[in-house]
Amino acid sequence: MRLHRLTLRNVKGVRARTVELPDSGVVVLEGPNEIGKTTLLEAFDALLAYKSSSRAADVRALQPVDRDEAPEVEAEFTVGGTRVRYAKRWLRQPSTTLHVLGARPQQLTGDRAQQHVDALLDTHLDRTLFDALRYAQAGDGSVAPLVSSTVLTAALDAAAGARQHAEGSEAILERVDAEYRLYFTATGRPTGDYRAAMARQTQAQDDVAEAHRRVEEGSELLLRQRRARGWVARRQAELDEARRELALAERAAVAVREVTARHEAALEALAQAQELRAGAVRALAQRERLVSDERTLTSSLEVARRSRSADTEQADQLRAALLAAEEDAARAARAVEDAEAVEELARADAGHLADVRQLAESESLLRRAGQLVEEVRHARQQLPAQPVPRDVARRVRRLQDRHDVLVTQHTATTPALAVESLGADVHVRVADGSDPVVVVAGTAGRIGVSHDTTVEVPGGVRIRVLLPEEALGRVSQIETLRDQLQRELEELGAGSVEEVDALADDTESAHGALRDAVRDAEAVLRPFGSALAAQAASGVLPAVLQERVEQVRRQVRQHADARSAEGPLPTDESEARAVVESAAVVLRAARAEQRRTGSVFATSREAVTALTRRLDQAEGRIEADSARLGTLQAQLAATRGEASDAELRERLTAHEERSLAAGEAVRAAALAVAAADVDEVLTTLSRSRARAEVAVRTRETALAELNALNGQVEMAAGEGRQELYDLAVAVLDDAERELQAIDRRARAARHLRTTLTEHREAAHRLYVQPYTRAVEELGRSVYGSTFGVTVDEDLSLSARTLDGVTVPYAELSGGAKEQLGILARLAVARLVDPEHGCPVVIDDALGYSDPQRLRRMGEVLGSAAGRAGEVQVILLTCTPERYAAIPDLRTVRLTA
Amino acid sequence: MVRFLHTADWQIGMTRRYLTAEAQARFSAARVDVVHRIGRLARQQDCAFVLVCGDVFEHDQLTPQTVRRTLEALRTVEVPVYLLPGNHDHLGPMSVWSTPLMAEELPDHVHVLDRPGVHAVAPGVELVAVPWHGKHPQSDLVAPVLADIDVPPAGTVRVLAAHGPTDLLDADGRHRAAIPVAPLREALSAGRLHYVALGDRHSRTEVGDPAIWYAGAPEPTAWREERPGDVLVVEVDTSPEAEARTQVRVTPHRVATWSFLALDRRVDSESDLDALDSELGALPDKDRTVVRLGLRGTLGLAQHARLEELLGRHEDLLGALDRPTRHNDVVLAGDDDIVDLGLGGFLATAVEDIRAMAGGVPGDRSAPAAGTTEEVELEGRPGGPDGAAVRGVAFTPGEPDDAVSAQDALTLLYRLARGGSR
Repeated sequence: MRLHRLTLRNVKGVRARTVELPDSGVVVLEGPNEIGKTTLLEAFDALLAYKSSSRAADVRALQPVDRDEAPEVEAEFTVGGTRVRYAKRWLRQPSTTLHVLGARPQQLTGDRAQQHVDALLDTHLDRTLFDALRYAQAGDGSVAPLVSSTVLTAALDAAAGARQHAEGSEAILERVDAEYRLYFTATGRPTGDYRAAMARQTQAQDDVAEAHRRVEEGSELLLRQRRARGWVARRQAELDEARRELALAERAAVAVREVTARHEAALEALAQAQELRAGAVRALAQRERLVSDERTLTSSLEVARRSRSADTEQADQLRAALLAAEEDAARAARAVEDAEAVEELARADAGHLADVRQLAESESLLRRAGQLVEEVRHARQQLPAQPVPRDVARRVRRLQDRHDVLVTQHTATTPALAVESLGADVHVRVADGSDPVVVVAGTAGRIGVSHDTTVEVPGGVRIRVLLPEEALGRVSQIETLRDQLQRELEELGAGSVEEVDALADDTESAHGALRDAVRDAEAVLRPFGSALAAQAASGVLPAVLQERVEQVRRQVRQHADARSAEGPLPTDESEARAVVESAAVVLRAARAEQRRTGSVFATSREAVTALTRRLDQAEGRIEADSARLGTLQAQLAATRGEASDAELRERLTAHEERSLAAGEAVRAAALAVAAADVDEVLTTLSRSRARAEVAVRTRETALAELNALNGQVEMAAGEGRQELYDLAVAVLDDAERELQAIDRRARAARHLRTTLTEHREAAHRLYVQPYTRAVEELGRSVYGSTFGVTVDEDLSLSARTLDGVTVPYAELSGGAKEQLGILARLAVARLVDPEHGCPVVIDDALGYSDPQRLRRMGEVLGSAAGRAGEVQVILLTCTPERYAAIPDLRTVRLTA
Repeated sequence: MVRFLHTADWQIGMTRRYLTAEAQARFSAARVDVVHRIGRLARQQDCAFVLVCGDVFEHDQLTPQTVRRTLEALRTVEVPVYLLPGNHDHLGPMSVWSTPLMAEELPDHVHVLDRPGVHAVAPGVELVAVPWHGKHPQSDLVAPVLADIDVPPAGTVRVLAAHGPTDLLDADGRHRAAIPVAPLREALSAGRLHYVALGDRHSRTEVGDPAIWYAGAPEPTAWREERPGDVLVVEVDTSPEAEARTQVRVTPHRVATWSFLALDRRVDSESDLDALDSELGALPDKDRTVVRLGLRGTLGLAQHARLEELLGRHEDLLGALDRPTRHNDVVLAGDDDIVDLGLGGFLATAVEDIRAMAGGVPGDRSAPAAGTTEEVELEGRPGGPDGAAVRGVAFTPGEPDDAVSAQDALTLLYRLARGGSR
């Protein structure tokens, strides 16, 4: 494609502008910022991309912001050898106009125009190339992977000398890839229907295995059932054999049992005979016992009757003796009563005389007690009103002694004043409270200075004698003691210490007299109790003493009054005692007599009682024996009526004979049993029976097993395992059929994709070389001969080498990237067929390049465009001096 | 004179590996449905009873559902039915005939001939039954039964019911229990029998005597069967007027709804493909037709793609379309088709590689590896009542690239390069 002219009206900030472009070589569109350089490209893009009816964002963006005008773009360009003028107006009264220029001019509008251009572009414009050769403002300079550019790849095919590329290859690859992705994930794992079919196959395989296992299980059951049947049959045979043996043993046992039964019958007959014989023996013995009893009873009854008549006589005698003894006893009792009365009176008299004596003694004691009590009372009255205990008197005496000692000491240590009056009276005053001493004129005196002393001669002199401190303390002590002594004496009511001593003496003697009187009183009354003694000691005569005397006196008077009727009293106590003694002797004799007669009476009465009891017993016995005898005799008569004694004896004889015969029969049967070998037969029988039972049980067990198996087999048969297996196999077959079909398609897709991908990559590797050569050729004019590039299979630049140093593209500086980007585009533009090539458009680039590089880039740009002359290079810039180095440069200045 | 319906080999419960689940279900249902038709035919033809000579069931371990559906179908038959246990449904252990379900639910008018010998089934009619008691009898079962019978009372029709191959059809003597035909003919001549009803062979067959017949299976079970799908209405007249050897009249009646069709065709050109397409398209009752297709020939890539397409189309319609490997040999020829696509560049070299790997292998590889075993008509299929045979090697998906995947890849490329879709 070649762009010849571009006209914008009302596009963004551009009101109206037409730019004419030369067909080839380098043209610089120069203008300040914001003038709308980039807008030119955007407008051209919109013209190709959007219908006039479009309201796409890109289209709306074309509208001027400050005016309500419809944007219009017109471009004249050549594509696929056809030169056209193509114009569009959007948004308001949209329109599309196409003028086909050249030999067969044509004008189209609307959709037809659009379709015509679209067809031209689809056929002749390599959009990949068109986009790739544009170097956009602010881009990083990298070139879009160019491998999908058919124009470029065709060029590279030619350059590589082989036809690696065919039109539509990429589209086919995409379809192959889409087919592949129906069956595989990106990482090559089965997916979708393919995976589902595999899962179904696996599931079906598992189901078949399970169904197969169940069928096998059924076969196994059948095998076990067959074995169990054989087992049951063998056990049945064993059982039959055991039963045959048992039948034989039972027949032998029957024969043996008959012999045994005969023996048992003989034994039973013998027992019966012996029992009958025993009965006869018993009947005869009973008869004999009856006869003997009757005889014995008759004779003993006779003896008893005789004994009874003898006892009756003796009883009469004993009763007479009993009466006599009774009279003797009564008499003795009366004698005792008399003696007791006499003895009692004698004792009363003796008591009375003792009372008389006691009365006299009591009266005397009472009197003595009265005197002693009086003495006590008197002694008590003699006790001083203020008793002075001896210790108190001693304390007072000690006070006096201490006082006197101190005074003596004081006097000895104090000086004395010798005063001699020579004319005037001298007054000496001792400050001890005593009256002043006056030594009258011409006298002398000696005065002890026991206290501070003033010696004064009135009108003459006063002399004060002062005691030392120690002497003053003693004086105070002496005064204190004196006061204390004085208080003690006052309290005791005494005038002096001597008086106190006398008072203490008096007190002591009065207390001694009281103690003596009390001791005496207590001594007299102690026999009557300590209470009475204490009472007397306190000076009171106890009244009880008087009462006692009175009581004894009343007794004496009463006895004297009562005795007067009984005769004279004994004279004294000793006589009375003698009378008592003699009365006691008489009483003892009477009591002895009474005891003797009582004993005789008791003996006699016991004898009568015993005999009477014996008589009663004898009578009862005789009566009972008589009745018994009667019964016996009746019994005897009755049994004899049944069978006489002789008949009984005959019967016994007959039974004894029969017993003997039965015994013989038993012995014969026992011999037969011994001959039959019963034990052996019975042992065999029980052994056979046990064996048969075991055989039955064994067969039952086997049968039970078989039945269990039959049940299992029946159940298994009812489940339809074979059919279920067949169905499972059918499902598996179906699943595999499906899987095989999918697998064929999946493998085909995989095979195809793998192979195509490998070949495409190989082809791409071939493209790389010519492209690399083209870039390096251009680059070496800028960077020198060490310049090299690394090109990937998709034809993108991945690294630059300079002076032997290789730097990955991404790590290059912005300027270097820009330079590489422009070089790559120029290389592409040079490689492709000019007929199908596209303009190289570089928008505001090389801002980062140093002046030297800039110059060389300019030369390269110029040569790239100029040498071949077919490449259209359009540079947009606001700083045209960047491109000053480009030869044959044409500049179009854009102004507002 | 007595008229009855002779049939055999119902094979209820049979599965076929080449049937899809859907087709298998219909195939199984058809084996039960035919019983209804047999019942209606028996009534229409005024038959006194229906005699089934063995293999009522495919095997002896059937699901209760299958057994119940069969019994339900039998219940609709309005005449007495006599079922003879054959080799597939013998009276051995686990016999379907001795299950509680059978004991409880067998209709009153249906009788199992489970005892060898004479069964008086109606006044003047006797069946001489020869049931199978195991899968592998070691000798002819018919001979001892035959030895026990004498000439029946005058006016009594006597029919032998037996199952198994006859010595005439088992020339190589594979079967110890094969039934010798000569004694049967002798018995027929002697008047001890009047008709011999046989089962086991699924093709309707007269066996050396107009009174000895295999009825054949009422619904077909395999391709090699010659005349399956019929039942026989048999008329036996023993009245004195009837001539000694013309007293039996046998009339076949078609009752089948399914058919098995084996086609072997050459395909070398578009016109061959047209013909095949038409032939398959003209088949009646497609969904009940099981086709085994053998193709041989040489096809280009485009033709091969077309073949696959048309077979896929018919496969959707048919009961089954089986393409066993040994019956198929279609070779991919030339590279004209690929050349026509005008593929260039790396695509062309890639195609060269793929084609080299594809080599000259036959172009048709559709038969499953597991499906190489063909049914043996008399012995049933593998995994039958003898126990579950171990199944063939399981199919393994995702094998590495090989000639087969290469061929398919070429076909795929052809399709995709044309921008086509299936």
